[in-house]
Amino acid sequence: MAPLTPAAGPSEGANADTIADRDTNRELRIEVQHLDHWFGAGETAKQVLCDINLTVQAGEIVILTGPSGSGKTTLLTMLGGLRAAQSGSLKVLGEELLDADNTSLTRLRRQAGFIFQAHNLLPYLTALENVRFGLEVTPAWLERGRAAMDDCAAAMLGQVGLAERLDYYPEKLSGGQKQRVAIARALAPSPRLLLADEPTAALDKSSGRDVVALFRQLANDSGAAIVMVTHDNKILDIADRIINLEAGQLVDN
Amino acid sequence: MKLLTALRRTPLAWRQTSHRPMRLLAAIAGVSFANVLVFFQLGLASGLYASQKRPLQRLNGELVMVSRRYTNLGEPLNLPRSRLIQALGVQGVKAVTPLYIGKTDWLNRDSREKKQALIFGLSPENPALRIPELEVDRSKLLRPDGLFFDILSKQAAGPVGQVVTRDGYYDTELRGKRAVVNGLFTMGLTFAADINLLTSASNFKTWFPDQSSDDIQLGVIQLEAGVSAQQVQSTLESFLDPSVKVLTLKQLEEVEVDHWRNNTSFGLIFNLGVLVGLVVGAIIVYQILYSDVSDHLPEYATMKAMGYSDGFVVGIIVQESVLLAALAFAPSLLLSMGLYALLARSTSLLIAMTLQRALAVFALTLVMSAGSGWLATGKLRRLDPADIF
Repeated sequence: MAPLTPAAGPSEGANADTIADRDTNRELRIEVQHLDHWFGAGETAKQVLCDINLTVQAGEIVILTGPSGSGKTTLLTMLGGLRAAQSGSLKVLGEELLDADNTSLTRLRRQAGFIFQAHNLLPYLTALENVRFGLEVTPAWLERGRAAMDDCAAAMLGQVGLAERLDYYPEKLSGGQKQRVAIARALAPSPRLLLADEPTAALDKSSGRDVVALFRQLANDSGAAIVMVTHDNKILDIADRIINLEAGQLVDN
Repeated sequence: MKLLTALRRTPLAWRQTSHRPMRLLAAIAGVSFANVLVFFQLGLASGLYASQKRPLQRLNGELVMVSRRYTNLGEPLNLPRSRLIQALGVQGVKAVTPLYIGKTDWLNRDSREKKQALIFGLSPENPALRIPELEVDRSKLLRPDGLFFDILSKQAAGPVGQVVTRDGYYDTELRGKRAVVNGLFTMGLTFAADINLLTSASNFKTWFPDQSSDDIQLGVIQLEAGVSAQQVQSTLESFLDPSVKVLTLKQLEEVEVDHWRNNTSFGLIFNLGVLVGLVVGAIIVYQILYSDVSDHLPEYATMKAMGYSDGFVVGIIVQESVLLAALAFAPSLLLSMGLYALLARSTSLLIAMTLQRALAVFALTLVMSAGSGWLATGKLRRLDPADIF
């Protein structure tokens, strides 16, 4: 219905320019607006997140701090598509997760990397296979075949310092080594969004630093957005931004 | 294409099942045991049914005439011989011959123990049963107190076979009258009796004097070559007295098997046995997989968090159940074949493994396993990855 005017051409061109500019380094990977979240329903419902507003851009590392019970993990699981949003707006990797169904949540989870406090490796798979299993969830990696996936997994394990432990089962690895396998599993598919819950808790100082350097590398090289919950003061300096959550609300530092 | 990419996946079900070899062995042993139970019941049932047909398979004709109320060979019912003679009038009928069937006590000469015997009376000039041993010397049947003894009879009958082979005869008594076993034959037992005996029609009448000379128990009708048994059967049915019926040999076998299957508790007992075997297998598989799910809940939640679908996660468990069923099948098949051989030897029942039965049990155990595998995934389907972290 819009009248075709000569002015339309130049204005479209200008729009395209700004979009291209955002694509290179300012693309919004996370857009949260007025997000509330409750646990339970009816009389016993308990609000755990309250009017959260947050944006995270590609290539940005955001550290989320706050006392226990402040809703950090809940927010993180929502960003990773483990829970659907109940009210407000939650856009992750361009997809609106308000009242999202299982299928779209599962689709998002495939594109996000998740590192949990507990490593949760599969005990019956070797370190290499555990990392490969993280790749197999993506059809693109399956297409490339097992050899390609093995190469990628081995390289990633090498980067976390486990090149000598590829064929070890988790039960033969130390706590820190297991955590590093879990980190390799999350990093191997080069996720566009990485979510980490206390990733360095089980690591000593130097391997903690190494892991964080990998995060930086992922953010810089492939423009991943990274949101990390941590109390580890030694790695706070890696963050582009530190945000603080208290009683379900974001507070300015 | 889809299958090819599936093959590139790490075989999780297999890796998880084989990760604890002792546990896997125990699981296989359990499921195999359940399969053997099923095979045992099915084998015994089919052996029982097949063995009941053995005398019928010796019938020397194409059609038989029996009393209308006939149910099985072990309960002989009289019919008049004159009815059988009537059949001779139908075109295509070559000859008819009576089969006398009686049940009587058999006395073991050594232990003085009494056993149940089924005795068949044959007309020597045209025997109603095909007995190769009889063809050698039919005149033996003509001896007034002569008997042939089935060497597949129960051991408890006494060492009749050895004695006859050694001395040529074995003295005993039947229904208070002297009887001499002067020949042996091989037919095989039915559940109707412990011993099978053969004798001539006239001897039969001396041991069963209460029967009238016109009473027979089964009439065998022999047809000319190339004549349709069904056609003669319907002609006979059209004019014969309703107190008798005419059956083909196949129908007679079916009546016999139906009797044992439906009119006795055998059918129910065996079906229950099969059910028990399947339930035992299902419980074992369920136990194993349920504890597997419970032990690895955080790992399964992690899979869901990584983006694997509910179907994928449930699929792992169902694959494991199918894997267990498949791995347990071969050992259970071997064990069952051994068991069949043992049973066949010790009971002289016709018990053998058939491809059909093996496939049927394989299908049953797969369905049973997959079913309990699916039941064991209840927790997994409800598992919310967010609750674990």
